[in-house]
Amino acid sequence: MPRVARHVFVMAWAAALLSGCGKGDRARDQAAADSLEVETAQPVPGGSVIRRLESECKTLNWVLYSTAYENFVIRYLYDPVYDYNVEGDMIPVLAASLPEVSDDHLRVTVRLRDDIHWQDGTPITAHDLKFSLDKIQDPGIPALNKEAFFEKLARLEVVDDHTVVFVWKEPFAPCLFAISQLWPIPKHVYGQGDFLTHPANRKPVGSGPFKFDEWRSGQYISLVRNDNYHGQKAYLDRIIFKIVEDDAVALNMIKIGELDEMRATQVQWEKQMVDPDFVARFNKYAYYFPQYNYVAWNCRTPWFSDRRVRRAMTMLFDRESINAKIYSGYARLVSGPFYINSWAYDKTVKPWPFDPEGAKALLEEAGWTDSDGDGIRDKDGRKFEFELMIAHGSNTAAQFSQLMQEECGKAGIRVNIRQIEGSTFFDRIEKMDFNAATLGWRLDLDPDVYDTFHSGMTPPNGLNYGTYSNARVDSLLEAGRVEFDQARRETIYHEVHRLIHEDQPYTFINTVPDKRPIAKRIHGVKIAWNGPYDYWPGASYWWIDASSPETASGP
Amino acid sequence: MLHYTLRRLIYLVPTLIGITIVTFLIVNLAPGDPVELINRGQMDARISPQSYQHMLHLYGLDDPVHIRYLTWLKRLATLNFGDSFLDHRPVIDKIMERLPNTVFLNVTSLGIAFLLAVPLGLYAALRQHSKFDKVGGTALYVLYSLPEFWVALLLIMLFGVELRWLPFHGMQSLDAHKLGFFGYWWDRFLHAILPTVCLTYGSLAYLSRFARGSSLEVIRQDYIRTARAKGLDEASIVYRHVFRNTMIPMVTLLGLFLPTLISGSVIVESIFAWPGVGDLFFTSVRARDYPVIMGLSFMTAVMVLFSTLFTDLLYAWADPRVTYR
Repeated sequence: MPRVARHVFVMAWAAALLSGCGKGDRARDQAAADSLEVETAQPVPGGSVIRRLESECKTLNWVLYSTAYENFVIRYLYDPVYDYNVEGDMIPVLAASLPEVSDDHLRVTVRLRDDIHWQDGTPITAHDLKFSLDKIQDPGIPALNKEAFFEKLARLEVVDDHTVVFVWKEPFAPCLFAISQLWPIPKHVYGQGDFLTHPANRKPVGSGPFKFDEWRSGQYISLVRNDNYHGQKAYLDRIIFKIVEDDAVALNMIKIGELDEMRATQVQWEKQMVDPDFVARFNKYAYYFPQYNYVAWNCRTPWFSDRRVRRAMTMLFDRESINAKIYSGYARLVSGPFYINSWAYDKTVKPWPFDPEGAKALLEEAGWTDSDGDGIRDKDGRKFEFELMIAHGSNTAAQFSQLMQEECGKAGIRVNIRQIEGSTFFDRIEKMDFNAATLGWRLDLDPDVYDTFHSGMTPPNGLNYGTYSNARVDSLLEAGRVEFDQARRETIYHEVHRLIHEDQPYTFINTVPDKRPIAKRIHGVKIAWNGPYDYWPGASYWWIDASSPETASGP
Repeated sequence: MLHYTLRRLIYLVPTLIGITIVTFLIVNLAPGDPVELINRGQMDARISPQSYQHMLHLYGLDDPVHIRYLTWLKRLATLNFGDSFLDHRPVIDKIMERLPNTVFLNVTSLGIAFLLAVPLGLYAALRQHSKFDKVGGTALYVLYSLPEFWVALLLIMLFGVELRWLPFHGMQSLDAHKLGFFGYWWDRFLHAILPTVCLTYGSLAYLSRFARGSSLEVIRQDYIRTARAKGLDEASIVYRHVFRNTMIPMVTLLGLFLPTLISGSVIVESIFAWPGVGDLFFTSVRARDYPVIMGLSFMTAVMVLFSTLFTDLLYAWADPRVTYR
C-alpha cells in the first residue's frame, strides 16, 4: 500500500493537536472512570448533541470526502463493511463475518449480511460495494486518498448479491486494512446523473444509524436518528454539527452550552478549561492519534551519511526539555516509526538520551573534529554547517529548531534555520533538495512503512526522502508486507523498529495528543486508542442523561 | 455627458481584462495547487506522480497559465464562471447563495455608519475645539484603530457569554423556521447585531472624521460668511448651506464604498460564522479553488470600476460646477 504514512507540517499538528501526557493521562484516567460508571447506567433515547466542525464540508459523499471534518459527519451516516472496535480489533459491520483469506493470500472473500438496507429501504448489496470501488478508481473522480489503498488490487469479483472476492496482484498483508477502508455507497442513488455534482452529495442517502436532515452552508449540518436502521437503534434524536472556524469563538460557545465538544488548543486546555464551572460540566480527554514528529536527515549529504553522526544529532537534541518548554509536558517522546499504541511499536526501545558529551564522542569517532580551531567541526576540508528547513508558520518547529541550533553550536556544529513556505517546502523535500527538515507523519493503522524506509522507495517511487538504506531493514519490510500472521509481523516490525532506532535516519521527536472536552451530560463516551470517534461504533451510541439539563446553563 | 459615459464604459473593457490577467497570474502562480491541497488535508494520502498528473489534467491545470487564462476568459464571455474545484458546484451558485447575506450585513452597517457619521461630523465641526470635538475625536481615533477580531471577541464575551443577551454564531438559531414569522425575524435580527456592530464602528469613525473635515472646509467658505452676514438664522445656514455642501464629498465617498458592499469581511464573517462571500473567499484562497477566487475577484473588479464611474457621474449631479465632456 503506497501511502502508509502521510506527511503533515510539524506545526500543522502543533496547531491542530496540542499537548498530552502528564495531566492528559490523568484526564484519561478520569475518562476511564467515567465510562465505567456509564456502563452501569441504562441508556435512554432522546436529546441531541452539538459537535463542532472547524471547517465547512465540501461533500457528504463518502467517495469524495477528504477531510477529518467530513469524516466526522460521514461516520454517522454510513456503515463500513469492516471497522476497528474500541480495542482496535477488526470487526464486521455490514459484513456477516470477518474476511476470508485464501491459502495463497491472493483472494479475500467478503460476505455481506442479507438484512442490511439503505436509509430509503433499498437493500445494500455486493453491487453497491463494487460501485463504490469503481468510483474510487474512476480516473474522472478525485478520490486519490482512497484509490491508493487499492493499487495492488487486480479486480473485485461479485459472486452473488452478498458476496465479493477481492483478487490481489500479489500477497499483501495490509490488504485487510485496505478492505476496511472501502465503504459502500448506494448505486441506485449515485448510478444516475453526474457523480461529482450529484444532489445526493449534499443530501446523502446513507446506511448508518443517523440520517441526513439539513445543511445550511457555512452554519450547520444536522442529522437525525435513523429509525429504520438495520442495526441497533441509536439513542440521540439528533446530532448537530456547527461550523465554527475560530478557536476562541468555539470556546465561548462551549461555555454557554452551544457546543458539547470541541478540540482544545493547548492554552485553552491549560488555562481556559480549568475553572470549576467548566470542570464540573466537561470531561477532558487527551489521546494520541497515529502520528509523530521528526527531523529528517538527508543521508546523501556529507554530514548525515554516517549513522554515528545522525545519532549524535539526536543526542544533541534535548527532546525532554522541548516537551517541557513547548508542549508543557503534554507530548510523548517516540523512538521509532510506528504508532505508539500499535502492536508494531516496540516499547522496549527507548529514545536516545540527551547526551552532548556522548554526541561529541560520536562525532570525533566519525572523523568530525575542529582541525582548524575556528569552533566549527570539519572533516576532509568540509565544515559541519548545514541548513535545517522548517515549514513557514510552524511556530513549534521554529522554537525547537532554535534549541537545536544552540546545542549544536556548543558542540561545534553550525545550524542555519531556514523557514520556507509550505508548498515550496514539500517540493524541496520531494526533490530531496534539503539537508535536514522538520516534518510529521500521519500513520495508517497498518504498520507497513515500506514506502518510507525501503531503499528502493526514494522519490519519485516512494517517500524515502532521506535516501535511507539498510539491507536488513529492506528485507524485513519486504517480509512484513507479505506476512499475514500478526504475531510474526510483530516480530518483524519490532526488529525494524530497533534497526531504525540504531540508524536514526530520522531524529524521532514526539507525538502530540489531541485534546477534547466532552460535556458530562453525554454518556456512552468511550475513548479508543485513537480517540472517541474513529472506531466502530464511535460516537453513534452516545446518550443523554435525562436528569441533566439540555444545556448545562444559559438561556 | 452621454458621450463621456460611453467613453468611460468602453474604457472599462481593457481595464477589466488587465485586472483579470493580473489576478489570474497572481492566484495561479501562488505556491500550492488545488490537487495538492485537497489531498493534503488531514485525511490525505500521498499520491503517486501519475495520478497527481491525472488530477491536474482533470482540473485543466496541466496547461500553461496563459492557455488557462484564455480558457477562463472564453468561458466568462458566456457568463460562465466554471465549477468549484472543491465541491464541483457552479461558482455562480456558490456566490449567489452567499451574496445576499454579505450585502445585507454591509448595507445595514454602511447605512448606520453614514446616518450617524454625518450629524456627528457636522456637530463636531460646528463646535470645533469644543470638549465634544476633542473627546469625540480621540474616541473615534481609538475606535478606528481597534482590530476587528479583538473587538468581536470582546463583544462575544460580554454580550454572548457573560450577559447572554445576544447570539454570536450564524445568521439564525437552529430550527429558527419553527419559531413563526415574528420569532424567525426577531431571531435573525438578534443574530445580526454583533456582526453589524463590528463592521460599523470602524467605518463610522472614519466617515465621521471625514464629515467633520469636509464641514470645516465648508464653514470657512465665503458664502457661509455671507449667509451669516445677511442675518440668516443658524439652522438655515447649517442645513441649507453647510450640510448640503458637506454632502458632496460624502457622496463621492459613498460611491467608493459601494464595492465593499459585495466583498464581505473575511474576519467578521468567519468569526461570527456569517455565511457570506468573505468567508467563501477565504476558504477558496486556502484551498486554491481558482474558479471561485476568480469569480469573486471578477465581481469585485466590475463593482469597483462601475462604482468609480457611478461616483464620477454622481459628483456631476451633486455639484453643478462639475461637468464632463
